[in-house]
Amino acid sequence: MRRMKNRTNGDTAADRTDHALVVAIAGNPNAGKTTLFNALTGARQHVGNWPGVTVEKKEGLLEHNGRSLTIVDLPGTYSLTAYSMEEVIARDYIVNERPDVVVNIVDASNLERNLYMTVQLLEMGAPVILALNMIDAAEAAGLRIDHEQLGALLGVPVVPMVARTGKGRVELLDEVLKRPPAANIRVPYGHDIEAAIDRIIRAMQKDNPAAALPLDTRVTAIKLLENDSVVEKNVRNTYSENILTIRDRHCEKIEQTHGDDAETLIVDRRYGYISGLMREVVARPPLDKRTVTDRIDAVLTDRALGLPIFFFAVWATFHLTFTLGSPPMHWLDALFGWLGGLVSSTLPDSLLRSVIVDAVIGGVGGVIVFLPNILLLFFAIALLEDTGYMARAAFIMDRVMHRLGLHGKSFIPLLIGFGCSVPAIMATRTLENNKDRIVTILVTPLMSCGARLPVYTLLAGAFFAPAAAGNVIFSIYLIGILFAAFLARLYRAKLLKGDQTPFVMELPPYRLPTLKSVLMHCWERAWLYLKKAGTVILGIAIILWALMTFPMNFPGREKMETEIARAQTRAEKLGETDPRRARLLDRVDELDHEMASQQLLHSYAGRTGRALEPILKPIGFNWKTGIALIAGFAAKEVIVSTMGTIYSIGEEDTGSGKLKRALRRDPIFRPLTAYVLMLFVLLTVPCMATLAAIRRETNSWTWPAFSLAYHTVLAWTVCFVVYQGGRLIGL
Amino acid sequence: MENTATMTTLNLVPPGRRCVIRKIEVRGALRRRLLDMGMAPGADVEVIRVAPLGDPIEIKIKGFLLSIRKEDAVFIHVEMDLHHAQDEKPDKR
Repeated sequence: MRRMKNRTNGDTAADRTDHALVVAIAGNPNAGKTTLFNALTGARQHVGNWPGVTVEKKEGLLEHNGRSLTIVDLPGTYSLTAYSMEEVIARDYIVNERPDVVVNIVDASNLERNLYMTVQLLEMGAPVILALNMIDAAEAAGLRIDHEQLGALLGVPVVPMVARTGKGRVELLDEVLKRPPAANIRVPYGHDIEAAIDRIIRAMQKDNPAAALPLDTRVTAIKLLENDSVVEKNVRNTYSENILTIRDRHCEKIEQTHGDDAETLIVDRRYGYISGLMREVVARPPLDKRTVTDRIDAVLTDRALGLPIFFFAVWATFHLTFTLGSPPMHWLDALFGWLGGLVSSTLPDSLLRSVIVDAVIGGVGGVIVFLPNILLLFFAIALLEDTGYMARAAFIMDRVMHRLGLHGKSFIPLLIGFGCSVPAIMATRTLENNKDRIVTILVTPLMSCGARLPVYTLLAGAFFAPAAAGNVIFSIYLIGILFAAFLARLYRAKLLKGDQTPFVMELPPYRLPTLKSVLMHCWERAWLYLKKAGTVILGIAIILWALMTFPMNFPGREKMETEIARAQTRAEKLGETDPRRARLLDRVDELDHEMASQQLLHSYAGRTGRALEPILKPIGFNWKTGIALIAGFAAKEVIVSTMGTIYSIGEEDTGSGKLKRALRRDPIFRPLTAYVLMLFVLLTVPCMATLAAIRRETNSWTWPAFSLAYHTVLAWTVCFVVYQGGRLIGL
Repeated sequence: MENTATMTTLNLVPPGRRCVIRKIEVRGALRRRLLDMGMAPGADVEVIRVAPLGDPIEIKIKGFLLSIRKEDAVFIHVEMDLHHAQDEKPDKR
């Protein structure tokens, strides 16, 4: 875990009024943590990485009554005992970084379970303010919570809030500035556990009195009895084995006496403590009250209706994305075309102009053109998540996912993958089990992303009848899904064997999200997509441009240049209305494109394509396709424009029928080759940005390397089989 | 009328029934997860429904909804009241 700042013992640094107060937000998932964070920090946040359930920390800035505040959003957790990375990170931050205030956000309509984490926070002695969020939902459910009494009993300030609307925000910040004291509660764990705690504390003090553990001795002892792996490790490093032996002895005794282990007893006592609190503080109606959520669920997860409704939701999401996204897409395409034309006409013909027009505008523009689609997809997904429906989707799909060795939660990243793999891979953070996560990450690229669609559209449109083209493209998507299912199963069974995570997932109450929160979630992901465009793709586009532009000389270049110059001068000498002028200018254009094509063939990229020809021939390709695929390695969006260049079509014309006709004229291209090429694009190595994301999320080079390897083998093998098989049956 | 309780595992509790957790017969990550979510001995659980594809099941505990696979629920030993208010039949004797 990276240390954020080097903070020394004590926090007197923040007592100086010019030093920003550090406020951490901790709490259960679904308690409104992210909403609160966004409401507090607005646009002033460093969303360094993927939102949703983050493992990385989100930080933001805020000013209140003249004081600067740094807000840190900790991962949502149900507990502070080391179970998954989220718990460890949240706990480590509070204990090691010592924030000035910890705002513990709890869902008032779900108080009992939320307080489980609160109790642990308070035991740790953190300076806590309880943000009693969603009191509107609690009131709607008929709950009356005496927040002052709750505060008195726990010894912390309690602020009722509705983070979504901003109610309670000011009161919360006022309390923050007042700097709550370190909490101090003592949960009575019962005679036997308390005796064990006592014994362990005494043993620790005797063994190494000067030891400085991050958690205080009582909490350390409690966590040891809970078999917390991180605390165990710390204790092992700081003390002799004796301590753990004592712990083990007491645990055995407790288990013999009570029939259940110490951990269970501790949990039980905590909930007992919480029950007591609840009795004093909450007046509730009879538990049988059917909530709105229950009534909606009765329809949405009904045995008969649940699946059809789910498929409809998925279909509607994609339909929305494609139909609503089309007009702005064309508009952006035209904009970039115009921009390219503008630069072409203003700047003199030079390398600089070429870089700007081809690499920057062409490459980056190709990615941005998809932004409307991506935005809409992310909007739809954010909407589904914020209302709470996504959890139901995971609930419904879990059986299928489980059979594939995946997890109900794997479904969402795979869905996002149809838009773009980069945010999809980041969305796998919701998966707690690392193996589930890696398998999901490995198969996500097989969910054919939005960038490959232009390639499919071009090829299907060129070689298949309009009626059939749609089905052809659909078959490609389907094949991707089938391979993903098969490989997920295979990888999970053979490669990443191991314990499946328990699928114990909360189904949050349905909520009406605010437009603001949905837009924020949507924008966070879209921003990542744009960043990818601005950085990796721009960089790769330039490298690729260089590979395709240099060396600039090729045999016969001078001759062509002379011919162009001559034709140009002759055309200019003729009258404007002379038909020969038009013909000559057309010839100039033709020669220009021919020159570009020749130059490409002799460039480094072209030479690589030729070098690869031996392995491309068996699957029906030649070196021309090879160049396009090399370009596709950088970013799939670039394949179509590169093919345009190869076939001497101008940048502006790739959308029109010209490229399609040029492809058909190429003797190696027939419907079979086109289909095989589509298959190849589907199955081949994902783009650089995706590999970079895999590297980031798995924190190693193994998995991106494996991805590269398996995709290459898969693509080549499948294409070989299909192409050769197709030839055999005479396609 | 006798009010006998029956011991069973959570995966076998039919939708609509209530039960009380008595023991969690598993160790490790699953156990911790269940405990953290409030599935501890003594807790009241209501089984709401089964997912359309037959798995997982949805339960209500401590006022919130939880989804759990049958293969994990098999480790949760519960006590179910035999006589449930909704299916009381008129006494024929």
